[in-house]
Amino acid sequence: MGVVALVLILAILPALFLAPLEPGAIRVAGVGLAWWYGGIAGELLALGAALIFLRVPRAR
Amino acid sequence: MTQAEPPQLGWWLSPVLLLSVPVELLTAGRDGLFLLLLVSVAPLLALLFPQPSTPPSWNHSTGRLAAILILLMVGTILWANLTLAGDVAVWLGGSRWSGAAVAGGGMVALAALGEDERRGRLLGLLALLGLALPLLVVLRATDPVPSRVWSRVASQAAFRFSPESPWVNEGRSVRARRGADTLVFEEEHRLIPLTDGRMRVTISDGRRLRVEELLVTRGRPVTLRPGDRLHVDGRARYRFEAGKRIPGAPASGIVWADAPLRPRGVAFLRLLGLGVTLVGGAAALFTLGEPRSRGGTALWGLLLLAAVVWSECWAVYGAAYAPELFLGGVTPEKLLELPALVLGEPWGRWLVGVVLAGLLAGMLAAAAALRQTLGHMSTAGVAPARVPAGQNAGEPPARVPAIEEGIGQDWRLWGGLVGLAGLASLWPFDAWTLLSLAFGLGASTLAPLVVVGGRPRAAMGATAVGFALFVGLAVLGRLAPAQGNIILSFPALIAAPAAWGILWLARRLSPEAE
Repeated sequence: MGVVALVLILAILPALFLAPLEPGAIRVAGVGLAWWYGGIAGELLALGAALIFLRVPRAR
Repeated sequence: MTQAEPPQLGWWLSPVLLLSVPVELLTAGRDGLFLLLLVSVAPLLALLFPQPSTPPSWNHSTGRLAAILILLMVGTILWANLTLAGDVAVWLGGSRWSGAAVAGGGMVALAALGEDERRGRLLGLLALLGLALPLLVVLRATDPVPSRVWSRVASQAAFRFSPESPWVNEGRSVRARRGADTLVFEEEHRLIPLTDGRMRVTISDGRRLRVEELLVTRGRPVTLRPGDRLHVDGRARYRFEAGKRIPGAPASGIVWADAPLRPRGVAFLRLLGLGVTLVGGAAALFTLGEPRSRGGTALWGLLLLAAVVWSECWAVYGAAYAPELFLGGVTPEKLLELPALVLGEPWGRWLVGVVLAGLLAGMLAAAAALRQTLGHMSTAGVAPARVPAGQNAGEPPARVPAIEEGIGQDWRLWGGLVGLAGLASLWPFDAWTLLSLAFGLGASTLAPLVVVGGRPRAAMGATAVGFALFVGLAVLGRLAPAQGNIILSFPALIAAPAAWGILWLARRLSPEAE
């Protein structure tokens, strides 16, 4: 599940590249959606997913 | 390191990778975001890969083979970093060997002092401070809100020389990116040579191009027209015209920030190649680390996030306040000048010194982390230290051969490896290409073994096929320039699935025997 979640997080970025057909079509607070996602949101999502799905060895 | 901490991150966040991200962001704009995202996601993915149902059996042959592959991968990562050190030395006006000698000497000296994890961490902290402090000063001196700066860059009509630019005022030489030795002028430009001699220009005359050698006199302007190409050698100095477009810069801010992917198929194949290479490279070495805890992984993630934010800000503030970085193509060493270009003398120059110190500390921290990875190797092979989920953290991992004097602990062997990498770095090569070769090699050979697993015969077969395909395609890519050919640019795109496929097939066909 964790691997699938992270691969999906990676795959969303190229999908976002396809979204704005005209340059700068999708903007959030003046910044392109892809830049928001690739620049910070994707990384935060990945960290959250990794922490949720991480299998930690049991302590004795 | 205690047993509950994740493996060392230092080798992953080596200066070559850290600087390659802003180079890619400035060069490829929006396409560079995928590398940015991969830098933080690939190591996290490596931590989440499931344990193989048939774990790799490190018998004598496979253990030795894995050890050789790890040495090759580690050596190539060292080579990439020492190449960057050489590039920086040349950029500073020194010789290539002096940069490699300083960084390589530090790596060996650190090893001679003995194994000390605190030293590695201290170096990592120094690298973090050395790189973060200049950026914070640049943010404070300009605009502290990166998204606002990005918006300003994205809405710029063109990247132009400012009247305060050193290339306009005192004039400078231009060093072009490796493989591209010309500046293409998009509009008429009055150029003032600051040295007597010859100027080689490819003149665009309608459909025809002709190369002319002009005799130039110091201080006498030469007018270049749109389409003309000036051949640069890194020695001749010129003064450029204020307000004119910077040769080599994107046509406009929006072309840089939001250009659509074209041709779409090739662009996606390239992203896929980059993904396979980096995720496989991370899987190859991170799986040899210690078991991980949630707290350690959170700290890991935050460090990755800090690296990503640093790289992104360095690129965006560079495009906004130092567009001269585009002149002749963006290179890692040129990026180091950002504080000087933004802040001017004397603080800017001083902060460049801080960045250089941070970079050296980063290289040494990367070397310390790599040495720790090699520390998991005995002279007889490899000891995978990953503990399968569910196993008690205090128990020793299964199938670990007796660890003898590890290669990572023997500073003379380590010195030999650094020496070889240092010698190789005297040959000018692109540091990022070397790093992606190291990751690609790991993705095509080691990653399938540690993620899919397999018995010795299948492991040997898969590794041999992955290695042969990877090396064959990589060599072909060097002999026939790989520009535009994604397979030759990212050989792991073919080699890694082939090795994974063999292991998977072996398990399916003969689960008992394999």
